[in-house]
Amino acid sequence: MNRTVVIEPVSRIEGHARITLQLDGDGRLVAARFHVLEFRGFERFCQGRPFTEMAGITARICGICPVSHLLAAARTGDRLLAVSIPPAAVKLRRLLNLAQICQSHALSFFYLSSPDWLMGWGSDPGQRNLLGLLAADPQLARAGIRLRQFGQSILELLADRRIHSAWVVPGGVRSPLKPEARAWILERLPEARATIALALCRFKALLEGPLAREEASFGHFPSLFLALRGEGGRWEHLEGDGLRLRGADGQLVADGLAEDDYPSFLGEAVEDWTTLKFPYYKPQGYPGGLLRVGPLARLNACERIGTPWADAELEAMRRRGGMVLHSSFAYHQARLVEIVACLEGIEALLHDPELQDPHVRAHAALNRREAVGVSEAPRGTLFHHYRVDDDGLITAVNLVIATGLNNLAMNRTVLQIAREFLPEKVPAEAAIPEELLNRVEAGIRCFDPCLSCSTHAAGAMPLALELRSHDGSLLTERRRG
Amino acid sequence: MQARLPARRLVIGFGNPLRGDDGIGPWLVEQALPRWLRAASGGARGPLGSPGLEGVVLRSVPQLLPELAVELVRVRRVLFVDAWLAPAGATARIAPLAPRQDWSGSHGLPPQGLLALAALLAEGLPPAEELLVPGWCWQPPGPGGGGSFSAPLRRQLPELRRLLLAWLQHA
Repeated sequence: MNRTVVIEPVSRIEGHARITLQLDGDGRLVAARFHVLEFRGFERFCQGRPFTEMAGITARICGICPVSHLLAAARTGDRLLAVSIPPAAVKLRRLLNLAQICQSHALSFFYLSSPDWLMGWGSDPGQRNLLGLLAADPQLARAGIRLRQFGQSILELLADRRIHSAWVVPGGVRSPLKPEARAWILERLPEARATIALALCRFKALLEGPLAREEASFGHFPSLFLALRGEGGRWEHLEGDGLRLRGADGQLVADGLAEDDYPSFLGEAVEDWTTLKFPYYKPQGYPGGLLRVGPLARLNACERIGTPWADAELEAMRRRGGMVLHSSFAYHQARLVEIVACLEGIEALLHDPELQDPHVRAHAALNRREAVGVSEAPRGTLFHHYRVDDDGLITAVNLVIATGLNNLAMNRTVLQIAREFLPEKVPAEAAIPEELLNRVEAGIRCFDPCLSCSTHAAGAMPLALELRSHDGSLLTERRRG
Repeated sequence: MQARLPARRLVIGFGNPLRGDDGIGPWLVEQALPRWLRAASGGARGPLGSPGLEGVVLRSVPQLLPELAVELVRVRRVLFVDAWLAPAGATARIAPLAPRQDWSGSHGLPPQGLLALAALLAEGLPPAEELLVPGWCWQPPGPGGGGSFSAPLRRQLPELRRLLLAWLQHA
């Protein structure tokens, strides 16, 4: 008799999802799927709104990474205006994004994922959270909370609020950074540096021992890696010099791809069992064009980061695992290295005299009817694509979200973990141990998916509603599309 | 930021401003209370633009995140301001709060859970109360206009002003 193991809800991620493991009559694993159940529809209801409102509207997509949508929407707006924004505004936006990446990565690493490996895969799920971690490892948990607060406070100092600010606008930002805010950030930077040094030390030690099997089996497969490209191939998170794709063998598959051309190289497939789309690299087809985005992809794609401590950490990762790191488990370490890069980047920006320039916004009339804006969200590359009419009202929107770009990889990761940790044959009445279920969930947590952000498909998405009996046989179904 | 403020008493209003009466906590903290406090203090403003009397920090948040615990451990007393699903005729009241370990969500915590987290972060914990504001309408105002809050809640505003200023006076 076939069996389906259902893990629902997947915990400690942003949003709601389900994982199913399908076993055949002999108890062998035949399929594993990551189902996303939400539906948002932003792409549809933004139509008819002025493009100038898009930053404010799309920031509402998410309470964790609203800054990413703010920035992508504002960059799309810049291009619709065909305006060059003032240098101080460029730097203030960069400061905002670095703080955003810092706080979001801190949330993922300290709050959501570290309880797994610091408290044990099989520990009580009711205690496997930040409160439990505070009891088990108070030093690390306290430091992690303060690190996230540091990132959140920078967002507030810049944009007046931690989420859903209207500070970033097409043409620049609304106000400069106050001197007392700059002083506060500089004062808190050493503590943030100490926190991340502690976390890196702990995590690297775990990789050499207790987590070696996870590193080898949590989504360890070849894929493409997509990210913004900085000048000279440097790590980039906002402006960039086009996009680049690095292959699993370390070779550049494409470099300097224009953001506007994304429909020519990114396809978006849909499946009938999830509301999350499956983007892929078009020249390699679906699903062969599997790619990954986010911290690991940004590190794999770049030549170097461009700041001393972060570059030293990247070099250490590459000495250990090669130029291209294949394991999705390496996302965790990549997050820590990116936090280092963010802290170094924040400090450099705060010492840049141009940051203090009060001229932070350029004004222009609508000059284009279509534009694409890209930012690197904490979870990966984020595309906003708008078309507008002569009055600047939105006629079409497409949002390609980092979590969607990782969808094929997340499904493959779940399957690989289940194959590694499930017995070859699962007895018919066997209970699935907690630590196996948690490891499968943790495979998804490697990607830190944001389902609130990524479920925006609208229109003709096929949808299947199936009613199955306890033995897995189909009783009735309804299909659309 | 808060580390540089004379942060002695903390008022945290939380809720969703787009959900009718649920937004009363943020509205009180962002708009009403600063006006009332400035009037009471002759127009003084705190450092970094934080409005209010010296020694009062006002925080407005959609939900209570763990990072807020860091601010909690540095204050003398804390007041949470939240709306609650009220029966007809209910009135606003301030009730004491005790820490309770509660981590039912990924990010947000109830006030008792935040206090429990703060207790784990530091030796001492400030006395905490909650201003429970009765609410009746949880939807945004319709296209026909009207205020953000239900009429019964608006009638409570004088009492809310009295309760908040009295708490600040005695905390």
